[in-house]
Amino acid sequence: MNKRLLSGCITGCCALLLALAAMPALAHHSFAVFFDQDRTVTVTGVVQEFQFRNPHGLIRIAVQKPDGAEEAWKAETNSPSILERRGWDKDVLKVGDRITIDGWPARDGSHYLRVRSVKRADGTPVGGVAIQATGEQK
Amino acid sequence: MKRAACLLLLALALPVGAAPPDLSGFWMPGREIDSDPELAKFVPKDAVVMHDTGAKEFGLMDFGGLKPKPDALARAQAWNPRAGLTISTACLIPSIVYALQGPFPIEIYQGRDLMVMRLEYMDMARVFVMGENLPDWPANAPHTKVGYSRAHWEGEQLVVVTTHLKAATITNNGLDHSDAMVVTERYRLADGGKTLIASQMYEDPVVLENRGVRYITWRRTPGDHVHAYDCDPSFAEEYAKP
Repeated sequence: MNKRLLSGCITGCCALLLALAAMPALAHHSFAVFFDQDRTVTVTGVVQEFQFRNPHGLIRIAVQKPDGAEEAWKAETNSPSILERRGWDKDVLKVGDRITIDGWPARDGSHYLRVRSVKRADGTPVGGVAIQATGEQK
Repeated sequence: MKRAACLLLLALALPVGAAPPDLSGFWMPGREIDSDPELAKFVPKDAVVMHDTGAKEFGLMDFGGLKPKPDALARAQAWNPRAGLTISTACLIPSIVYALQGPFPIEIYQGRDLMVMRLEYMDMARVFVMGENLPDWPANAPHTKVGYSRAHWEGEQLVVVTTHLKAATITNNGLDHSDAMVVTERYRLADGGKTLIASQMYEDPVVLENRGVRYITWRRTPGDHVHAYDCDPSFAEEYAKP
């Protein structure tokens, strides 16, 4: 192997090692990895907390089971920057509001879902329109 | 003198170059498409079309036809999505490889020498330096999530070649590109200027055996602008709490 070829190989190997060393970790979580796109779940309860922040908003609700016991559920919305265009803001939900959330359940079976729609007790959609349209799951 | 006169006459005789299409404005994500006949002409036959633009996202170990090299495949197999979702990573900005195809709007400011594309997702901004035969950046120049983009017009299509991208996810499921990634994009207007269509092609000889391409569309939405994203990493705590 001549010197130039050897030098090229070393440079190439260094570049490869540097590139591999620079591999990143996960950023924003994957919808498909965390949620089951083939099933939906609906829960009705009382808002305990509402956070309106990117990358996802979060609704914490208490759901009353038929036996009277309460279950804590969490539901994440799509990006608030998108929801702002649909009439949502940080005050759109208040603690104590009774709502029904429809969405995709967590794959791990926990009481966690990704929101497709949120309705108030009288059936009106929160923010005035359905919040989750095709193409907005990520 | 005679030669100069000839050149002047030739210049006067040539039709004045038509202004390029105006991509300026605010664009909301559009419908999902499998391909585009005009842009597909410039996509190599061996490039696999990735169908995760917009609504879809690939599950674990599904890379939409991209063929990771053994090391990249091993990293994807070892990838643990829950362990990776932490305060320090929840707001980690992806590169334009993942960011552009997501369901977020963009805003374009078009100039003769520069173009700026703002992405609502993660408050990103891209700068396209306009011109053909622009010099390469040195290999050791800084790599960023938006990279170094050179662009020029080919007829009605804007062609953008981006190098110097910092390693980041390709499919948000464990497959990451390296610093060697080169992205070639083509943009064109359709529907009388109401629709913007792009092909975004990926070549990464460090990580991928083959090339991939996504087709992306947006619809012109006058009167709107990108919103602040202001990613809050405390979101990751929700995955640690019961």
